[in-house]
Amino acid sequence: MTRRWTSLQDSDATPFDAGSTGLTSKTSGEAIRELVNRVTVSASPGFSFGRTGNLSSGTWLLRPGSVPSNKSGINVGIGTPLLLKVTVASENEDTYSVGIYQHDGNEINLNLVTTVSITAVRKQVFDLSAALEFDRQIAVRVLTGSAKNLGVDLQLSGSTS
Amino acid sequence: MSRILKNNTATLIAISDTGLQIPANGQITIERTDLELFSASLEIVPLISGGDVTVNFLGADLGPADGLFLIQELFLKDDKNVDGGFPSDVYLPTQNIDGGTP
Repeated sequence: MTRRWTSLQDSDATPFDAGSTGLTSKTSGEAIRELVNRVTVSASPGFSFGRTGNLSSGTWLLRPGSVPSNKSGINVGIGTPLLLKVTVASENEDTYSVGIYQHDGNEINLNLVTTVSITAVRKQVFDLSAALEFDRQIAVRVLTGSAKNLGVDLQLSGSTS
Repeated sequence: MSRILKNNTATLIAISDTGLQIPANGQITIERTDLELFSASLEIVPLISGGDVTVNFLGADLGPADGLFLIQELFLKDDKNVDGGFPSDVYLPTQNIDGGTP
Protein backbone atom coordinates (compact mmCIF):
# COMPACT_ATOMS: atom_id res chain seq x y z
CA MET A 1 0.00 0.00 0.00
CA THR A 2 1.32 3.43 -0.88
CA ARG A 3 1.03 6.10 1.77
CA ARG A 4 0.64 9.70 0.98
CA TRP A 5 2.76 12.22 2.85
CA THR A 6 -0.30 13.71 4.41
CA SER A 7 -1.17 10.41 6.04
CA LEU A 8 2.18 10.14 7.89
CA GLN A 9 1.99 11.15 11.50
CA ASP A 10 3.90 14.10 12.81
CA SER A 11 6.21 13.16 15.70
CA ASP A 12 4.53 15.78 17.82
CA ALA A 13 1.27 13.97 17.20
CA THR A 14 2.63 10.52 18.08
CA PRO A 15 1.92 9.58 21.67
CA PHE A 16 4.96 8.70 23.77
CA ASP A 17 4.87 6.39 26.77
CA ALA A 18 7.36 7.91 29.23
CA GLY A 19 7.12 5.00 31.67
CA SER A 20 10.44 4.30 33.46
CA THR A 21 12.41 6.65 31.19
CA GLY A 22 12.55 9.58 33.55
CA LEU A 23 11.23 11.80 30.78
CA THR A 24 8.11 13.92 31.07
CA SER A 25 7.21 14.27 27.41
CA LYS A 26 3.85 13.07 26.11
CA THR A 27 4.77 12.87 22.41
CA SER A 28 7.74 11.44 20.52
CA GLY A 29 8.79 14.85 19.22
CA GLU A 30 8.84 16.36 22.69
CA ALA A 31 10.79 13.35 23.99
CA ILE A 32 13.52 13.77 21.36
CA ARG A 33 13.91 17.45 22.19
CA GLU A 34 13.97 16.64 25.91
CA LEU A 35 16.77 14.12 25.33
CA VAL A 36 18.80 16.55 23.24
CA ASN A 37 18.60 19.06 26.09
CA ARG A 38 19.68 16.49 28.67
CA VAL A 39 22.67 15.26 26.70
CA THR A 40 23.87 18.79 26.05
CA VAL A 41 23.52 19.76 29.67
CA SER A 42 25.32 16.70 30.98
CA ALA A 43 28.36 17.43 28.83
CA SER A 44 28.86 21.11 29.55
CA PRO A 45 30.33 22.42 31.71
CA GLY A 46 32.16 20.03 34.02
CA PHE A 47 31.42 20.79 37.64
CA SER A 48 34.74 19.71 39.13
CA PHE A 49 36.37 20.85 42.34
CA GLY A 50 39.58 19.76 44.04
CA ARG A 51 42.52 20.67 46.20
CA THR A 52 45.91 19.19 46.98
CA GLY A 53 47.30 18.46 50.43
CA ASN A 54 45.84 17.21 53.68
CA LEU A 55 42.54 19.03 53.81
CA SER A 56 40.98 19.66 57.19
CA SER A 57 37.45 20.71 58.08
CA GLY A 58 36.51 24.16 56.87
CA THR A 59 38.68 23.99 53.75
CA TRP A 60 37.09 25.24 50.55
CA LEU A 61 37.92 23.33 47.41
CA LEU A 62 39.22 25.13 44.35
CA ARG A 63 37.48 25.40 41.01
CA PRO A 64 39.53 24.96 37.81
CA GLY A 65 42.04 27.78 37.66
CA SER A 66 42.96 27.36 41.34
CA VAL A 67 40.29 29.83 42.46
CA PRO A 68 38.74 29.20 45.90
CA SER A 69 35.15 28.20 45.16
CA ASN A 70 33.86 30.31 48.06
CA LYS A 71 35.22 33.38 46.28
CA SER A 72 34.27 32.45 42.71
CA GLY A 73 32.49 29.15 42.27
CA ILE A 74 31.18 27.59 39.09
CA ASN A 75 28.15 29.52 37.93
CA VAL A 76 25.15 27.41 36.93
CA GLY A 77 23.94 28.21 33.43
CA ILE A 78 21.53 25.30 33.24
CA GLY A 79 17.78 25.86 33.47
CA THR A 80 15.93 24.26 36.41
CA PRO A 81 19.17 22.58 37.55
CA LEU A 82 19.06 19.40 39.57
CA LEU A 83 22.08 17.87 41.31
CA LEU A 84 21.90 14.17 40.43
CA LYS A 85 25.25 12.75 41.47
CA VAL A 86 28.22 13.65 43.62
CA THR A 87 31.39 11.61 43.13
CA VAL A 88 34.37 11.92 45.43
CA ALA A 89 37.94 10.68 45.15
CA SER A 90 40.80 10.90 47.64
CA GLU A 91 44.31 9.51 47.87
CA ASN A 92 43.78 7.75 51.18
CA GLU A 93 40.90 5.88 52.80
CA ASP A 94 39.66 9.03 54.49
CA THR A 95 36.62 9.80 56.63
CA TYR A 96 35.05 13.18 56.05
CA SER A 97 31.95 15.01 54.90
CA VAL A 98 31.57 17.45 52.05
CA GLY A 99 29.11 20.32 51.77
CA ILE A 100 27.76 21.57 48.44
CA TYR A 101 26.91 25.27 48.62
CA GLN A 102 25.51 27.99 46.40
CA HIS A 103 26.30 31.69 46.62
CA ASP A 104 26.29 34.86 44.57
CA GLY A 105 30.07 35.31 44.62
CA ASN A 106 32.41 36.05 47.52
CA GLU A 107 30.20 33.95 49.84
CA ILE A 108 27.31 36.42 49.45
CA ASN A 109 23.96 34.73 50.23
CA LEU A 110 25.84 31.51 50.94
CA ASN A 111 23.59 28.54 51.59
CA LEU A 112 24.24 24.84 52.10
CA VAL A 113 22.43 22.73 49.50
CA THR A 114 23.35 19.23 50.58
CA THR A 115 25.94 17.16 52.40
CA VAL A 116 27.55 13.79 51.66
CA SER A 117 29.47 11.70 54.18
CA ILE A 118 32.37 9.41 53.34
CA THR A 119 33.71 6.76 55.69
CA ALA A 120 37.14 5.22 55.18
CA VAL A 121 37.07 4.85 51.41
CA ARG A 122 39.02 6.32 48.51
CA LYS A 123 36.04 6.83 46.21
CA GLN A 124 32.28 6.94 46.38
CA VAL A 125 29.28 7.84 44.24
CA PHE A 126 26.17 9.43 45.71
CA ASP A 127 22.80 9.55 43.93
CA LEU A 128 20.89 12.67 44.85
CA SER A 129 18.03 14.82 43.71
CA ALA A 130 18.82 18.23 45.10
CA ALA A 131 17.44 21.37 43.50
CA LEU A 132 19.97 24.04 42.60
CA GLU A 133 19.42 27.57 41.42
CA PHE A 134 20.13 28.97 37.97
CA ASP A 135 22.78 31.73 37.76
CA ARG A 136 24.22 31.06 41.21
CA GLN A 137 27.72 29.82 41.95
CA ILE A 138 28.49 26.36 43.31
CA ALA A 139 31.14 25.97 46.01
CA VAL A 140 32.39 22.85 47.79
CA ARG A 141 33.83 22.58 51.29
CA VAL A 142 35.18 19.90 53.61
CA LEU A 143 32.79 20.08 56.56
CA THR A 144 34.16 17.46 58.94
CA GLY A 145 37.10 15.09 59.10
CA SER A 146 40.00 15.33 56.70
CA ALA A 147 41.03 14.06 53.28
CA LYS A 148 44.20 14.02 51.23
CA ASN A 149 44.25 15.32 47.65
CA LEU A 150 40.49 15.45 47.29
CA GLY A 151 38.43 15.71 44.13
CA VAL A 152 34.68 16.26 44.05
CA ASP A 153 32.69 16.15 40.81
CA LEU A 154 29.03 16.95 40.32
CA GLN A 155 26.56 15.79 37.70
CA LEU A 156 23.65 18.09 36.96
CA SER A 157 20.55 17.77 34.85
CA GLY A 158 18.32 20.50 33.56
CA SER A 159 17.52 22.24 30.34
CA THR A 160 19.52 24.41 27.98
CA SER A 161 16.71 26.94 27.81
CA MET B 1 60.49 23.69 52.60
CA SER B 2 57.27 24.04 54.51
CA ARG B 3 55.78 27.27 55.68
CA ILE B 4 53.56 26.94 58.73
CA LEU B 5 50.95 29.42 59.89
CA LYS B 6 50.25 29.49 63.63
CA ASN B 7 47.05 30.91 65.06
CA ASN B 8 47.99 32.77 68.25
CA THR B 9 44.38 33.39 69.24
CA ALA B 10 41.72 31.30 70.94
CA THR B 11 39.35 31.68 68.00
CA LEU B 12 39.30 30.06 64.59
CA ILE B 13 40.74 32.29 61.87
CA ALA B 14 39.28 32.04 58.37
CA ILE B 15 41.39 33.32 55.50
CA SER B 16 38.61 33.22 52.97
CA ASP B 17 40.61 34.47 49.98
CA THR B 18 42.68 31.31 50.25
CA GLY B 19 39.74 29.05 51.16
CA LEU B 20 41.52 27.91 54.33
CA GLN B 21 41.13 28.37 58.05
CA ILE B 22 43.47 27.97 61.00
CA PRO B 23 42.06 26.28 64.11
CA ALA B 24 42.05 28.20 67.39
CA ASN B 25 45.53 28.00 68.90
CA GLY B 26 46.38 25.64 66.05
CA GLN B 27 48.39 25.67 62.87
CA ILE B 28 48.33 24.71 59.22
CA THR B 29 51.06 23.90 56.73
CA ILE B 30 50.86 25.81 53.48
CA GLU B 31 50.93 23.41 50.55
CA ARG B 32 53.34 24.32 47.78
CA THR B 33 50.40 24.52 45.40
CA ASP B 34 48.80 27.14 47.66
CA LEU B 35 51.82 29.47 47.79
CA GLU B 36 50.47 31.63 45.01
CA LEU B 37 47.10 31.98 46.77
CA PHE B 38 48.82 33.14 49.94
CA SER B 39 51.19 35.50 48.17
CA ALA B 40 48.13 37.17 46.62
CA SER B 41 46.04 37.10 49.80
CA LEU B 42 45.00 40.46 51.19
CA GLU B 43 43.40 38.95 54.30
CA ILE B 44 46.61 37.37 55.57
CA VAL B 45 48.47 40.70 55.73
CA PRO B 46 46.76 42.30 58.76
CA LEU B 47 46.67 38.92 60.52
CA ILE B 48 50.45 38.57 60.36
CA SER B 49 51.13 42.27 60.88
CA GLY B 50 48.87 42.35 63.92
CA GLY B 51 50.41 39.25 65.47
CA ASP B 52 47.31 37.05 65.33
CA VAL B 53 49.17 34.73 62.97
CA THR B 54 52.85 33.81 63.07
CA VAL B 55 54.76 32.36 60.15
CA ASN B 56 57.06 29.49 61.04
CA PHE B 57 59.78 28.48 58.59
CA LEU B 58 62.23 25.65 59.17
CA GLY B 59 61.28 25.54 62.82
CA ALA B 60 61.77 29.24 63.49
CA ASP B 61 58.96 31.66 64.31
CA LEU B 62 59.44 34.74 62.17
CA GLY B 63 58.57 38.29 63.13
CA PRO B 64 55.73 40.01 61.26
CA ALA B 65 57.96 41.68 58.66
CA ASP B 66 59.90 38.54 57.83
CA GLY B 67 56.76 36.43 57.95
CA LEU B 68 55.07 38.67 55.41
CA PHE B 69 58.18 38.70 53.27
CA LEU B 70 58.18 34.92 53.14
CA ILE B 71 54.47 34.69 52.36
CA GLN B 72 54.59 37.36 49.66
CA GLU B 73 57.86 36.10 48.21
CA LEU B 74 56.34 35.18 44.86
CA PHE B 75 55.21 38.73 44.23
CA LEU B 76 58.45 40.19 45.49
CA LYS B 77 60.34 38.11 42.94
CA ASP B 78 58.18 39.68 40.24
CA ASP B 79 59.03 43.11 41.62
CA LYS B 80 62.78 42.65 41.28
CA ASN B 81 64.67 45.36 39.48
CA VAL B 82 66.50 44.48 36.29
CA ASP B 83 69.78 44.45 38.20
CA GLY B 84 68.39 41.76 40.49
CA GLY B 85 67.91 44.08 43.46
CA PHE B 86 64.61 44.89 45.05
CA PRO B 87 62.79 48.18 44.52
CA SER B 88 63.42 50.61 47.35
CA ASP B 89 59.85 50.39 48.63
CA VAL B 90 60.10 46.66 49.26
CA TYR B 91 61.47 45.72 52.64
CA LEU B 92 64.07 43.02 53.02
CA PRO B 93 64.13 40.39 55.74
CA THR B 94 65.65 41.61 58.96
CA GLN B 95 66.38 38.13 60.20
CA ASN B 96 68.07 35.13 58.65
CA ILE B 97 66.19 31.85 58.67
CA ASP B 98 68.58 30.60 61.33
CA GLY B 99 67.39 33.41 63.58
CA GLY B 100 70.51 35.54 63.18
CA THR B 101 70.61 38.92 61.52
CA PRO B 102 71.91 39.35 57.98
